[in-house]
Amino acid sequence: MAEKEQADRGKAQEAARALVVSSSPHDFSKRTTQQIMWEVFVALLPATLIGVWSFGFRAALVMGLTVASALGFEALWQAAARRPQTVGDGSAALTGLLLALNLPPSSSWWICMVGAGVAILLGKMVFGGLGQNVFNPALTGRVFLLIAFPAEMTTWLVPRTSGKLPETFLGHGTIAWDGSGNVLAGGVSSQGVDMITAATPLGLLSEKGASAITDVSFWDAFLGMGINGSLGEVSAMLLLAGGVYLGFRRIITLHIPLSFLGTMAVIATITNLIDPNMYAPASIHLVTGGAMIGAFFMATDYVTSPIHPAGRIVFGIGCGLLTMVIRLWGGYPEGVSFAILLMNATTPLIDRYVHGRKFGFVAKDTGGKK
Amino acid sequence: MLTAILVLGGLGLVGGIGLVVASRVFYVEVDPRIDKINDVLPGANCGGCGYPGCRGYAEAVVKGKAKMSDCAPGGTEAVDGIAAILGVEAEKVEPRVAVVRCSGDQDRGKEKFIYDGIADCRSAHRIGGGHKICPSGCLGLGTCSAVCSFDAVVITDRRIAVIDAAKCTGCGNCVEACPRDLIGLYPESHKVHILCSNREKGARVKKYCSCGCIACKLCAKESEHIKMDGLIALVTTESIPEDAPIPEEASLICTPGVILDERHYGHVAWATDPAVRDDFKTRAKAMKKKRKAERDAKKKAKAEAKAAKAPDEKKPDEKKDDEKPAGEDGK
Amino acid sequence: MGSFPGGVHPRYEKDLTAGKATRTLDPPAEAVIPMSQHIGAPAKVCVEKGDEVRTGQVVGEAGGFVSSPVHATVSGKVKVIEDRPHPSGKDVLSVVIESDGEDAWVDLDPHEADLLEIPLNEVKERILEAGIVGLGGATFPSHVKLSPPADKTIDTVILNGAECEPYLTADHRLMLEQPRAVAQGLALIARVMGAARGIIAVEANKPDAIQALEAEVGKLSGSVDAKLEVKVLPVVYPQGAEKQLIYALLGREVPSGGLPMDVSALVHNVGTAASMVRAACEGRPLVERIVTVTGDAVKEPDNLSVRIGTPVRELIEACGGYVDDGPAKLIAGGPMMGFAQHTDEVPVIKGTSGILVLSKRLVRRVEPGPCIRCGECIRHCPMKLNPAELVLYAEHDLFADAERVGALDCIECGCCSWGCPASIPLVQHVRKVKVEIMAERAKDRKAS
Repeated sequence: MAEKEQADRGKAQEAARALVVSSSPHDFSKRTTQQIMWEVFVALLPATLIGVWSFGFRAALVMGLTVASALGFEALWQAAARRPQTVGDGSAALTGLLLALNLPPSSSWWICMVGAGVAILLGKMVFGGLGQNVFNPALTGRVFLLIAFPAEMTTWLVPRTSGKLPETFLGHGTIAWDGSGNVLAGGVSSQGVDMITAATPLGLLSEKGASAITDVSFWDAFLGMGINGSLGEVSAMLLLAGGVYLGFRRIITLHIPLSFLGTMAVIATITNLIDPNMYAPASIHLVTGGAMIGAFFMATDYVTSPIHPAGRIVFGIGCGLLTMVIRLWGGYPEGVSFAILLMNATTPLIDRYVHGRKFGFVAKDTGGKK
Repeated sequence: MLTAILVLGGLGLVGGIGLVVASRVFYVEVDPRIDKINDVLPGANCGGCGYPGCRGYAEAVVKGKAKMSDCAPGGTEAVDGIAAILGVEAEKVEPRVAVVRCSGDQDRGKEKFIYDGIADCRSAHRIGGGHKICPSGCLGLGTCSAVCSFDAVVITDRRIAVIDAAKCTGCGNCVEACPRDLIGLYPESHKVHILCSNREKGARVKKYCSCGCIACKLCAKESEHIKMDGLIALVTTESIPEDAPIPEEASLICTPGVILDERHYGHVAWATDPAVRDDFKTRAKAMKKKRKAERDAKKKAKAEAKAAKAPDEKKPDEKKDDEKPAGEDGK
Repeated sequence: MGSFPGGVHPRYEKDLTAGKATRTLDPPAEAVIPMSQHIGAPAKVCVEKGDEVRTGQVVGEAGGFVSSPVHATVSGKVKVIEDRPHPSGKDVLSVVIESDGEDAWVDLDPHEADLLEIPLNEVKERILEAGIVGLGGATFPSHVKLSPPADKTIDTVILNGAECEPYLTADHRLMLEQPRAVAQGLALIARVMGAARGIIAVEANKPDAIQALEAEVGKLSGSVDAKLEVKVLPVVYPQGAEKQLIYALLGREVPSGGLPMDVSALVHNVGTAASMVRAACEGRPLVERIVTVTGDAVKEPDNLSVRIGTPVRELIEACGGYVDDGPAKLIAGGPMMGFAQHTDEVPVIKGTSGILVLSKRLVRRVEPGPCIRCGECIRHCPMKLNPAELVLYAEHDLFADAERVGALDCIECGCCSWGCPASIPLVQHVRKVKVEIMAERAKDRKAS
């Protein structure tokens, strides 16, 4: 009897040995890094779909190729560095998609791959991977492409919603690659036209002033009807919806988007009041170009933006300011990418000096009263 | 064009003059010996001396605050160098190396729970007293390895810290980092190390560790340099004279195989290579067999001698009979 | 979100035991009484092996001012005095008493006067002698809290019945079953401190307890000077943390490094207050407490009133034992701040408010990923610290920097680790830093 008891005790002790011991807490929220990445994918889905619908099958290929390249480069890097594989965390795929959404729909296959390579390798992995990079990887890739291949990066396809495409063109449902035989998708239209391109509203604005884009209505741009630009810039409304979703799901805080867009609006309004023929109103600035995707999806990148709410506001204001300076007086028609990258560089500085008051850091003689 | 050249040239000139003036006005007299000493130091900035970096130590030495032998990584070279620079006689120091006094990795030392947390021995030690049942077992999370500037600490696959004596400079950073006080500094000439720090009773140790010191005292009988400190055998930290080293029997006599003899096996191989252990066992067996044969021969000779001397006396035989059953009971 | 910045909403799971009346467990056959059941100096053993002791007899005397005596919780013979496993994880010197099954008590010394008539110095003395410490988990000796320095005045006494820690219902049951003792305790402490206001703070998820307390407080109001009231707080963790509680109720911020008395407030746990009443009136020492035994790996979760020193194993057996799958984690306390145990042989001590047993399903073991600077930890931190930055310093042993950004202000509530998507054990990092900073300070003090 005693022996059996002892044996039972022994067994119980053996079982107890398998107990997990850790520091508190012992319960956790369900949120994981992967889940955050997937939530951002979900938020980008509407904007992605309308991009594909507007520019045809080509757009889907550009996106697919960029995402695949991003994943491939990260996997290769990790394999070469003999480090644990991280492609599963979703961040590389997200970088790929964000880059694709910032590319012109006419991008060649090598643009996609070079862009993804720069974004992942130079933008992220050389810094030590996820969480360590200073600059937003997708924007690093895009800006590299923009500076290295300006012609390719500023050729803008006309979307199907513009009503400017010939019937036959639409009949094929696709737009051909380029004339030199690099056909990735679709066929050459019956008219022999490979593709139809036009300048973006911001391009016109930068070149000729606000009077040149009087035919661009706020609602068209907001809804994404007939506006050309990058794949992901089609519909401000859908991007806004995605951003609000992220805010609602508490994936991002709205400090950066609101201060970013707010600053843009203020500057645009002031300049528009000064010279309406030269400067477009805020309603146009906010819904064209990369403003929406930049404010909600690029500037809010955790790794490269300040961590404190107060710092995020400073960051957002800086982004808005720089964007407008470049748009109004700079050499490039669009400045969102540059603005965010420049502000990325200031993030450590902002984090150091702009943060909230810690609890209990009150003057002692006030008796703790506010 | 001319304006540009003038403007830029002028700027350069003004800046250059500024630099010259600044270097004169703000010149700080530095004892040239500090730089010289800094040059003979290893430059690892390991902090083992307790000063901020090698230069900090160099300053301290010049000011007489630090001893010239405080730079363990520099060894005799640094001491000689410093002595030459300062123009004094070199202090005699024997370089030391760190040894982890535990060899109970995951295969040998049992764990009492599954630790889930940051890979830091100090933190793990604070939670439930560490996951090893042995209160002085190496936790194998590598805090000693993290503080080592010389890459001398290896954490094996089976989670135990082993110090590569060839790389160790004896700076002592790991000694301070270990929350369980398992690492000791021994003179380089020491070739025999007792790889256990457990001070619990032998019967208890056997339950959770197959390579723990059971305080049988056999090794202490083999060499005067090994002393029992309560329930643990310790090798002296003094230098051992070359003509009276610890014999290899001191290592071979140890049943759990706690004692490493560097003359036969390297630290890392001892911890990781099963072949080394097998070889050790074979040698230990051979040694014990030899000893037994010697003992038997001696006994026989004694008995014969006695038998020759006093063939009538029966007492010794009787005694033997009495002892035997008692001995068996004892087992 | 709530009544203080930050905080989280973990799975509460209080339904497992909230509706279960407290069941009194028989005294154990063998009680293990650790000498260290409180913050401060350990008690000094004052019995010897082989001594016969009676229930309520002092077996360890207070080892200093910030210390507390400990009492035998069963009658019988001192079997051995040795180091035994303790819920803190270390082995602690303990008096092991083998019960004679009689539960023969020492003669208690009830005070003849009415509770609110007992002279103040006697109240404090009886509380010290009864070995009363904070029962909420912090286990700070109560008599010390009742004796603030002369230059501090207390205008508000708060009884903490928030019980924000998930799973636990011990305080809930106590407030529901002994509302009179709790209300009396509030009146008693308010009288001792000369406070004008007394508040019992309860989270809104315990409406029945609130009702019971309001009725008792109403009955008492006329007979005491202080204004007594029950306040309902929103349900958010860590509502019951002292500093957050004071902020929520009074809008006062306890200064960094300070104590509640710096803002003229005093906080006691409701269970502590009830024990104080028993000590003052009946002279009854602290030998038992209510423990919630809960979790998905225990068969019949319940609230138990047990003698201190009862092995946790017996509590679990009394609750139907472990589920067949076995436990994966055994926690003394709740899921947010409790201590994980490696054996169920540890005894219940004064601060053990719950025993939580989790199955494999609820025990997460994931390799921490890289910090992506999402800011969740900052959003959740009730002390408005930057836990991510603290971890960065902790990882590189930059203790001075960690101190500069407020490491010592961390209350270790666990909100940051709870919400971290990369599963980084932030609290453990901060704990490491805090220990190192304190060690450094001790070294400096010794040097100077």
